[in-house]
Amino acid sequence: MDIVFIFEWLDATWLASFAKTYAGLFSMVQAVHILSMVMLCGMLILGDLRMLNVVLTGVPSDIIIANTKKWIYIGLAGIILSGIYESSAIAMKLAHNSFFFAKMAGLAMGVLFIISIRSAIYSRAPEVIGSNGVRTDAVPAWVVKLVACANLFIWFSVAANGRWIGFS
Amino acid sequence: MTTNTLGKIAAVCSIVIIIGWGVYWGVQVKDTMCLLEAATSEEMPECLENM
Repeated sequence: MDIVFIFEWLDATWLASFAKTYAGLFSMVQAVHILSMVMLCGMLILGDLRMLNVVLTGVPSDIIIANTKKWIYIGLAGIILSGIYESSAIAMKLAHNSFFFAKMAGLAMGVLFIISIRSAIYSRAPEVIGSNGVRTDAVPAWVVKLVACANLFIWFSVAANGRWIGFS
Repeated sequence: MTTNTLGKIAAVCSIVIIIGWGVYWGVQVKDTMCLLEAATSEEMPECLENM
């Protein structure tokens, strides 16, 4: 399916001409995009490494997951909003960039993974991982660790694809 | 949905993502590295023939 028309439409919007006109503002939005990505990935890595029993092993996992949840969504909103602004300025370049599409696919997959599988599995972490007390509905420890590895891999690829866009 | 079923779905999805996404992404990076090599070298690299 040819979706170049979407990029042509984006390139013709007032947002695109605004972003192209004010280069100084563009660089600041880029900084917001990177900082939002750092916050999002930082919160995700903290939760995932906790589930792999690498960091903060003395803190119950429920506390870490509950406290990072809000910041994950704030980071996500930050990367999406700043990303739309950034992509409007270079829309026609992105229309033919395979890493941009890989990043979008990874982002969509990552968001779906977080709101469905990750949150459901982490809230059922067994005592041996979560230190939240004995649960009757706990999933096996290896499933929790596998989900953590998959999530880390998805978000690493999203960040790496973002860097590749700049190189290609 | 029972916890047992949820665990199985999560495990399958995670394995599919790690392997499937890993293969797709690996091929993409390899192809791009090849194109970068082709752009900077005077001779045509061998990897271009396999693309």
